[in-house]
Amino acid sequence: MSMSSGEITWDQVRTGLARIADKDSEWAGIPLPVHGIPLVIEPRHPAHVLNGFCFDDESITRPPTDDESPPRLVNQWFSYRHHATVHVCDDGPGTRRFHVMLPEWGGSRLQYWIRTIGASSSWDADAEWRALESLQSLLTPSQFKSYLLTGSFLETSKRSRVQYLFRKLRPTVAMRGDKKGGMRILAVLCLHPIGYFSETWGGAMVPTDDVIGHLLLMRADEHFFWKKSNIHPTWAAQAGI
Amino acid sequence: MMAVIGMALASTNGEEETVIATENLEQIADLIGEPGTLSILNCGAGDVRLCFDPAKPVEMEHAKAVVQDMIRRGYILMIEIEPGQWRRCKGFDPERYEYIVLDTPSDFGPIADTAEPEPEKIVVQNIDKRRGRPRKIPAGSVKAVSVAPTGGG
Repeated sequence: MSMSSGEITWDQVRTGLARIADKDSEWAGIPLPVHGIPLVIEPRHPAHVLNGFCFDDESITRPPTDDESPPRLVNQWFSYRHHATVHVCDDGPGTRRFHVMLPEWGGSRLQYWIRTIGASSSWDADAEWRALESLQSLLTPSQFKSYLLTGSFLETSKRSRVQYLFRKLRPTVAMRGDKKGGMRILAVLCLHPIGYFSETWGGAMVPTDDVIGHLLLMRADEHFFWKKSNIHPTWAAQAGI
Repeated sequence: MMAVIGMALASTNGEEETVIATENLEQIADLIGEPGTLSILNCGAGDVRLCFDPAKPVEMEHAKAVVQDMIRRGYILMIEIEPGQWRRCKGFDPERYEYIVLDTPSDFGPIADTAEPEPEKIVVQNIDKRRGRPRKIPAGSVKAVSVAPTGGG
């Protein structure tokens, strides 16, 4: 995957960012922005300057004009009647308000899926291999086989008996058995160290590193894991269910 | 913003090597599971490993400085105190190279599950029972994994 001149590759950019991170003692590295999908970065991270940034041929060469400023979000809620998220917006104080209704249906999930593929150009395949090796050392053979074959595995908390479904490139699902032999979803827990790519299921780190983060946080401090996670409603595209 | 990207481009210009060479991967793989290692999840390299090995005082001092810096910056450190038993690190004793963790009542066994309380309340119930005792664990004797502060999701 080369940039416009064909002389510099994304791998080289990634390498350069790693060197800058190393030089600046940024132990978790600096995320690599991708084309067309903005980054969302943790506010305390030095790479916070990259918040909202993505590569865009036009935006690199010229600043946005006033006409291109996005609408201001006034309010939003989920309409169960329409099964859609309703956004009420305007173009600034005193301007006329309008609403946009975004249906929560398969199309939203497909969009997340495709954007996640776009975000994958930020990740290094070697790093994912190393993360897989690390994950293997943390799981039972059957859990790791499940992860390799399905991209997910189950683990029950020894502490709370809550059952967690850890998934590659999806939030973790916390469940508990009901008295009728089924499972009830308690929450869909989403957490990305450093940051994530907007409207994708992908984080700044390679997918399996995100899974390791979820798993170890759950094992080490379950309450803290819940406290730090964003909880998505099960019907939302973000939940990935 | 663009300056960072520009620096990245400049620092790679004309160089073909990647940060971690293939032969280093084998060394890294050998380290997995070794007590005394600290693995930092890294968005560029996958993860970076440091070592608390008394036989390597320079590396040990570096690891100490990195741990102190990470705690200051809000990184989350998780320590494997027993095989399969992990605790979140609450602090670090730089003079004795020891992680500080809190023991919780659940260390003595799982919380009883007879009453079948509302699931959402389970977590709250556990919070109230978190009356931990600080315990120091030599960094050279345990595995540790560090995760950067979360950016939400």
